Amino acid sequence: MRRTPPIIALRLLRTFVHVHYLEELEGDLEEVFQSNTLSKGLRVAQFLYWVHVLRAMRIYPVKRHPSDIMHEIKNLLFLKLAARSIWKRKGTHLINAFGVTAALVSFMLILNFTTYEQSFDEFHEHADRIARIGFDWGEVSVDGKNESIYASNVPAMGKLLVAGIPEIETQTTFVPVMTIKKSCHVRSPQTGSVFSAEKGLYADDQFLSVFSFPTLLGGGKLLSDPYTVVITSSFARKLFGESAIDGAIGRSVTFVTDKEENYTITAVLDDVPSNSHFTFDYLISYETINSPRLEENIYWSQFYCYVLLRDVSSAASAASKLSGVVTKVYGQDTRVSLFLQSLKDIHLNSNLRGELGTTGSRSTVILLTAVAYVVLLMGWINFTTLFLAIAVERVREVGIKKVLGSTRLHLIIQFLSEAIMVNLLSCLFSVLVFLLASSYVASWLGLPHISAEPYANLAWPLGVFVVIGSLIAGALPACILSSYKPIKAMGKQTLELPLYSQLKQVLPYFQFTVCFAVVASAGIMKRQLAFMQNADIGISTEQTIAIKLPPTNDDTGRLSFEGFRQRMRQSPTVDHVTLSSSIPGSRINTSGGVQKISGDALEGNNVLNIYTDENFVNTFGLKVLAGRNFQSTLSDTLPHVLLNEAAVRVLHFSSNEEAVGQSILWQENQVLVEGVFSNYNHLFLKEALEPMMLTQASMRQQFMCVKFTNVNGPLDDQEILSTVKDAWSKEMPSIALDYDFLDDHYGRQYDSIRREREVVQNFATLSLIICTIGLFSVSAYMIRNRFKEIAIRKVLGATSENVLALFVREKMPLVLISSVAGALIAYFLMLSWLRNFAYTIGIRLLDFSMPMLTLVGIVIVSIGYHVFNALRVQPTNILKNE
Amino acid sequence: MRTHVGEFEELVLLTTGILHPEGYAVNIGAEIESQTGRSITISAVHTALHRLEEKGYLESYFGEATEIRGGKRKRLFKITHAGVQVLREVRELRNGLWQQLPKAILKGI
Repeated sequence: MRRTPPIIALRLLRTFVHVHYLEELEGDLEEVFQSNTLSKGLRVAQFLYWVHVLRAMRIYPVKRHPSDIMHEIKNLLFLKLAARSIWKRKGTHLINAFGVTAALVSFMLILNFTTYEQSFDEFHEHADRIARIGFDWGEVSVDGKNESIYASNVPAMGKLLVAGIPEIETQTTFVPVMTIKKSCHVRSPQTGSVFSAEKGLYADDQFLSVFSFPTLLGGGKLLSDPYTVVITSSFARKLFGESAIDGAIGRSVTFVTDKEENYTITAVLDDVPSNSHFTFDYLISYETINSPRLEENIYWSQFYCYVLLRDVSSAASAASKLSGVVTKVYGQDTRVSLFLQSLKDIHLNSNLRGELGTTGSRSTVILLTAVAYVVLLMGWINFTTLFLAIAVERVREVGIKKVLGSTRLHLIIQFLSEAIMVNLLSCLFSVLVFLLASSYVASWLGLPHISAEPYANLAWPLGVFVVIGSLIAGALPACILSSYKPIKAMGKQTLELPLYSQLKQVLPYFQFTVCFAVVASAGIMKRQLAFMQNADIGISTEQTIAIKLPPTNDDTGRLSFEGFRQRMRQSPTVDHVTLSSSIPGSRINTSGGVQKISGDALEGNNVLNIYTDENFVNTFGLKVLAGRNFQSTLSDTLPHVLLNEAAVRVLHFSSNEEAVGQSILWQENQVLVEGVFSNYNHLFLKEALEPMMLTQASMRQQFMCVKFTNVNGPLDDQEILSTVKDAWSKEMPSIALDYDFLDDHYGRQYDSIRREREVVQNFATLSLIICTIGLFSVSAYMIRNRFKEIAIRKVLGATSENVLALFVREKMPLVLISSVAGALIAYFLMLSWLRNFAYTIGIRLLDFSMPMLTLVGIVIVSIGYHVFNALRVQPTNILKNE
Repeated sequence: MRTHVGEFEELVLLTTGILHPEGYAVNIGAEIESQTGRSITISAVHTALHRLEEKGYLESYFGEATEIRGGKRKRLFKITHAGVQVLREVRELRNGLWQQLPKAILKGI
């Protein structure tokens, strides 16, 4: 009876012994085993078989020439084969690599940006333990919105919190200089002239121990004595010149606000990193402005309060004790409440009143991250479909390889190594592009330029891309192809495998849908932006320059200012000069409720107010609809006001005329309505038109607007600027001129929307490029498989147009279905985007026709090229082969 | 090129010649075992055959498959011209040495 040798030993033998020796060895051992079984019994034979196998393994795998080993390694990686195969299709692979590179570079750039946005305030040593205490007045307007939630707090709160909540270790209170002062300038110790220095804080002595802003020079107990200041190194350079920073400690610096004061510099700090949610040039000790009255103030909610918790986990228990402190201060039934925000969440998650700087937006970060991954996915899909397309061509190669003894593993390794090579190539390209042109590409994509750690996140997306990308792109065709039986593979020109052809069909749908959605969204955004920029805002901002006025603390200052105003008024090219507390395009800060003197209390009666003079209406081209403009002499009894039409409606007057001459209450003070002026959009059209009033005031305001004449055609900016500079330097030579053209200023409101549109627009271009490349390279193979068909059609009398139409028609279901899907996506996305705007365009059917035409265009271009190439070949040359 | 042939390798080479043209690892091993009475492991024979082939004294080809071998083919070995040459050299070397042995020693033993 035949016995089988130990199966495990046999496996071992087959695994480790080189295939060249395996057959004879296996046979010999089997023969010995069989004879041993007869002569010595099964057990002994099995034991001896094991011994022989182990000894054989010692001999054969190592007994090879060194050159053989190298050959094996080369074969194993299939590098040579892969390189040859890639080189054979270099054009296709190059185009494909370009698409992948574009996807990869955008992916890295976007990721770089989002990581930067998420890194805000992480540099603080105690970042996890720092929290901001915000303040909510709890005033809900008629439409249910609470706009009284402040990022800031009241001056007294910090100390009350430390006393009332044991989880809080310490607190720091600070306030921007511009909250306390109307303006702030610094006298340069070098030239004696003053320049604007508004980025400063009054900060208490705990500020630098709570936050981590490293000191370069100086030290000790900082910011505890009044009239001491800590400055950043770039501010120090601005003050003392490049080289003289070392001597800055102990020197004094003159701040010009409503008065001139000298401060002693006690330390120089590193510049504030760009990824901090607030920024400053200097810190003045809080003691300078502190007073017992201020310390007890519980109403002025424009101070900032940051607390340092005892440990990270105590945030929740500290937050729960906030209401206890509130009731102690404001009584039981107050609407006021406090809330706690973790420091690291502020930049992306907080958008309250009185934020310390422009905050980022979590939704933008999420959107961009989604964009990054979609782009990457599109790149991968291109890659995979192309490899699938190429694979079709290689069926016969696979068949022959299998006949010659390639195993399935060999084939998979071969296809994988090809994919890895192309991927590595694309990675190399994209690293080059990233290094050479990252700032250019970033600005093209509409991302802000990031100076901090630009390459920090380069490595891992690349690694992930190579690994996952190659696996997906290479493994799919590899597994599908290698499963083919040689006899089948060799018999057919193309192969049709259910999974394969389904995949080939489905993948482009995703790309086309994305393309459609993005192109449609970009179109709608463009139309909305154009609509807002071209709409009649009821005001003219052309030929107007807005000048920020400096402080005047003495009579000479006042005189020189009056001189400047006179010069501007008398200039032949100037039409109007007005002073105002706010200019169009900037938020109005003063507001209050209005009431009729007699009558019921009104709800939702908030009216914005600008202090200005009789020239405001003319300067901005507003119309007085009823009553009259301010008179040039100021009334000494009641303040005179002009209302806009919206404010008239708030007050429930039946007509504009009825309001004229009435006395009303504003912030509980009586004012006289002198006239009604036409509505205009003080802010851009994202914001609703607000009820407004103008109050005639004699005091100097923060802004002067000068309207230049348009009689002899528009003046150019340079002419306007030189007129202003001339007059300024004659009257106030020691003060820097701070100006802005009003139309620029107004237009700057559109910046963020324009940037959003740019991102989407560029994403659209990018996805179109990737899509075109994908279809282009895939259809090359599709058409090659149908050369014969084309030739026969041509012989039978089809024209080029017929053939092209045939192929384009085949792609029409793709275009139509993706268009419908893309249109749905774009519709809902844009609907939610437009909801942010007070004035919007509607989404029209026409918005979706352009993207559809674009898709058809892509199909025609990418297929047409190959079709015409195929048509150019003589049919006889194709058909004679059979 | 002159390559040294070890004692066991010489035995294997000779046996391969004796069994010509049917010699392969198993019957070579068995033949040596029966001729010399030594216990020979198959691995030792494999090693020797492998080395001799590398040195060029043997050449090999696949023979037929048999049932007892589980359907695997034999690798049959054939002594080459160089193999015969080296056997002859070894014998001549031995003979030369024998000639020089003093008669007294041969008698004495």
